[in-house]
Amino acid sequence: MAIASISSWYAGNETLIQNILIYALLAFSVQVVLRAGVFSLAGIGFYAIGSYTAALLLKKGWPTVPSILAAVLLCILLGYLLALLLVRLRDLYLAMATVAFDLMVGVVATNWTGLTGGPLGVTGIPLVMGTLPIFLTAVGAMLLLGLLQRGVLGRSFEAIREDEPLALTLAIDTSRYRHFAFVISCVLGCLAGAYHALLFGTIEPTDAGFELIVLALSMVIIGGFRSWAGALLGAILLTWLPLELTSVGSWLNLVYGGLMIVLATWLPGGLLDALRALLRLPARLRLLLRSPSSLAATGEERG
Amino acid sequence: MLQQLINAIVFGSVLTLFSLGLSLAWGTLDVLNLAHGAVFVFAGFITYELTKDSTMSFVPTLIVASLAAGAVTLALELVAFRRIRLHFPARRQAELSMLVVSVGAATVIGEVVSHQTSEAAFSPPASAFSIHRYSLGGSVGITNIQILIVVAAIIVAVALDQGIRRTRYGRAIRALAYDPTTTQLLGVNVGAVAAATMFLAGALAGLAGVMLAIYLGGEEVATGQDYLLTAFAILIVGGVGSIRGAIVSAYLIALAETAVVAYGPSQWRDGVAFLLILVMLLVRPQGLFARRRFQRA
Repeated sequence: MAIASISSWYAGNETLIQNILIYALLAFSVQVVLRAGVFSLAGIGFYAIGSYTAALLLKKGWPTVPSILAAVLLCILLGYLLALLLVRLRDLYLAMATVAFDLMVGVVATNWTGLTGGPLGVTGIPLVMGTLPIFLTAVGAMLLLGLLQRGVLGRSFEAIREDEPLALTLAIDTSRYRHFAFVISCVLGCLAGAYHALLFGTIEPTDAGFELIVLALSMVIIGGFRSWAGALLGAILLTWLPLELTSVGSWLNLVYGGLMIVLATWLPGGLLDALRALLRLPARLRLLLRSPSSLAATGEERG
Repeated sequence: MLQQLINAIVFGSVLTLFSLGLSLAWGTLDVLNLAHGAVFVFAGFITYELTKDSTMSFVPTLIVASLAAGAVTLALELVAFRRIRLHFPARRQAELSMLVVSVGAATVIGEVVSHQTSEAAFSPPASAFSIHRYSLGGSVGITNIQILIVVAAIIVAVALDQGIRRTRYGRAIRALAYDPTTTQLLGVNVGAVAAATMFLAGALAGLAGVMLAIYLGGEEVATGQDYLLTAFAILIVGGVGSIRGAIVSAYLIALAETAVVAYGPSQWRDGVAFLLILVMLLVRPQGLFARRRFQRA
């Protein structure tokens, strides 16, 4: 009985789930670099590269898995080259350079008509992708990101984000870590793009434009950029809410924009931080009742 | 050829007006204001709203729309940027948060404008500003709005450059760019200077937005994004925080883009700015006219 209702719910919401998973991959690609203090939005450009590579290879008659693997390999190669080039840039400069890269990919996709089909994009891509591979990839990405948040690796990324000179004095090879985060981000963006193309069958050169950058960034910021769980939360909310809030309709983007302003100003940890604080509240209250002075000790820890 | 040169100079003047505000905000306050393009379009939208039903003349419209654009940016500063600057001690976190706020603000402003205009391009009526064309021999000519844009850009550029160098307020801005804490200890009202700077930046974007709306005969929300990206290239080529650098590179980039459109593969026009950004960041990330922190603004 329960299984039947679950499966009927699943059948009704399969597209939503697929979209959530794909956006989650894209959000992860932004989150993994932000967490490492590398302000790169290159994942969106690689979303386009991944979708075009996989789709065009598939249309040439390549089997599914090699097409996706080839796209990933290309993204690793390009991502590493880009990381080598951009390694000296920091913060706002890096953000700007990667946004420029994303838009440059769009310009090339629009104008290299011979390869990409130009402004019309690519249509009639074989629909070879199912939900399961995407789900498994997303779970794999969560495991990987979860591992990157823990132990020596996780602490090193945090040190680099908070204080790079200090991280250097602790013998952390910061540029290697930054390269690593950058390439992971490129691969995740690439996978999201490839899956999207093979799932829905069409690509337009404007798919990966400024709006996708804003969407991916808002998912990560609204959810919380310090953990992959925040990115997942953001991806779920921002994919699912538009369907629920049809009454808000065309004002939806206004709500997103307002939320981004409010959260970035008052709650930089995103909704995930708010949730955690809420969950901690009973324990803190109990502590406060027992001895008010001990509250300072649990203080404002940041994960 | 001469006509293309005139076009390039007018385009460069619009870019100068637009990018000076962006440069000022980044150079002094570390705000990369992605809402700058939206504010710019917002001013064009205000012009459209003011002139479509009434016979408001050009100069009051220009002033009201520019002030409105300044007020929007000031509101952002007061609501968000100030709080972030005070409460987030780590510079990187503050920069990220301010960037996110400006992305949010760009979305909000853009959404309001596109909602009010039913997502179509809007154009102020011809009565808002009667355009005359002066012939310079042959097919070459220049219109009065073009002359106005160039003159306004020159006046603003010189006034800003000299103002930052020579006035008390300019000195306060430069001090703020170098070290906010010490500036405050020296008795400068940092909050007020920051607010005034953001207001000025917004008003300059507004000025550019109004004149462009009349010059092009129309604007839409996407116009702001295009200009924002070109302005990025200008900042990078000119060097962040360098006013003279921004002016020089605005005209250089205008010349390059006009040349590509006129004589090259015109569909690659957008590519010019992005390519310049990437190349400059790789070869000379500090810009052609690099400024150290204490020289900024």
